[in-house]
Amino acid sequence: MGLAARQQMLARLFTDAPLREQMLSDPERMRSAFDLDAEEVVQLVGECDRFAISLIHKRRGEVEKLLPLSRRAMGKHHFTTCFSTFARQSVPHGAKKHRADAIAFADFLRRSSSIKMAWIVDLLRYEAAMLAADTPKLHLTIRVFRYALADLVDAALEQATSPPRRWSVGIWLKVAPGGRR
Amino acid sequence: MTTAIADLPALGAGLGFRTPFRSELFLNRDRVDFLEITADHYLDATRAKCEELELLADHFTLIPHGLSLSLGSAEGLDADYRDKLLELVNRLQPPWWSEHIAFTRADRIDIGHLAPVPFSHEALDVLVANIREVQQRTDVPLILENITQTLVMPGAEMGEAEFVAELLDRTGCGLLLDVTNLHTNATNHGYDPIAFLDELPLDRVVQLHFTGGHWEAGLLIDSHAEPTPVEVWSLLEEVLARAPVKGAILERDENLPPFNMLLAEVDQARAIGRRYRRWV
Repeated sequence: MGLAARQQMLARLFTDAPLREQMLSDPERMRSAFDLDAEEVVQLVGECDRFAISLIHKRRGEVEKLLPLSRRAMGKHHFTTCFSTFARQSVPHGAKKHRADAIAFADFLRRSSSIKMAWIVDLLRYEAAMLAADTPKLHLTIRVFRYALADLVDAALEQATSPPRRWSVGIWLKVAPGGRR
Repeated sequence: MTTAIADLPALGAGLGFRTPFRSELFLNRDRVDFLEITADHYLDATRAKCEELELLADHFTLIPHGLSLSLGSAEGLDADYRDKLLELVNRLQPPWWSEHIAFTRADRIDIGHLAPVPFSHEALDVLVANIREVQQRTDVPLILENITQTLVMPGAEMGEAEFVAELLDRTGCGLLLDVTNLHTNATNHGYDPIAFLDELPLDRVVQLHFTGGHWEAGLLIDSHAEPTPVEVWSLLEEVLARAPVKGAILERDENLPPFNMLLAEVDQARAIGRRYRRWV
């Protein structure tokens, strides 16, 4: 098997946990791909596992920077646990993959049953909207929230309990000065 | 390289730019000789990031550091990413730019991290071909960084130092020697980093990276999240004593301390370089 095919297999192993588990249970497939003995297959799959874990750790670090308020509101353990579940199902792509990852993770959390508190769901939507609005070609983003945005931010920073409900609208508008885009 | 390494300017000691310390950076401009920027942050950039780049370029020498060119990809380069990256490099006209001896993409999967290539003749041919492709599109010299070998790729036909030496010889590139990665690999794989340096063409070292990592489950991790440890300082000094290095960058990414602590490490690197007359 040439280098291109090996790299394709490795890329899949790094990003696909079920595939790694399959390889461990079918070492012959790895042996023929990499010309390894049985012990070396186990070692390589183990190393791929560690690499995959470090990938998820790296992705989480980048997403934490992009969703800082949600991370603070959820707490480290809950955020980490949820991200590990999310990361096994989704691999980001593209030059802005960390931003795409953060937006996708926020959407994943919003749709899942992991987040019990409605205000944290709104906080996730707020931070995801900010990220989406920062796209160069997007000029207008509008979201409706069940809580005042300032109250959401304060609750996250103070790690407080739910803020009072107050409907609010967030509008992100990019206007090019002097008509320049 | 179109410009000989000896003719490259000596820049001194600097920082990998990180947005959280932007304000403090400008308050302490005189203590940072140059900046390394993550090139990917300025591709398809928002207006704010474009303005940030202009501001940085107005006040510092910038070295673009690519993350996703995937020079080790046997499938070839992503032409769209290649063109955007090289447009940035050609626009900035830095003294040099850098990328990694690694692959980050295969089978339309963006791995999201630097994966090692096997130290094989086939991998050398792939790297050389991809590097020549970019060298045809820019005159700005490219330097190549050694990465952490998080896993040992099967199929090696030579050691890493020999592989790097041959790669530099065939491409004419300089070396971005990450002494933290060298220390991490030597620790995790049980070899002498000085013996590794002895096998490298040290006259090709253009720039250094240094920072600190942490231990996890018995492995040293290059997390870029801790102060530079004494072992890495020792390696940095060893290289500066022996190689005509033009610049050293503190590559702290996470767990950022107060800015004066980063400056203290930059000052320390600058002082070592001055001791060996690498820069003023």
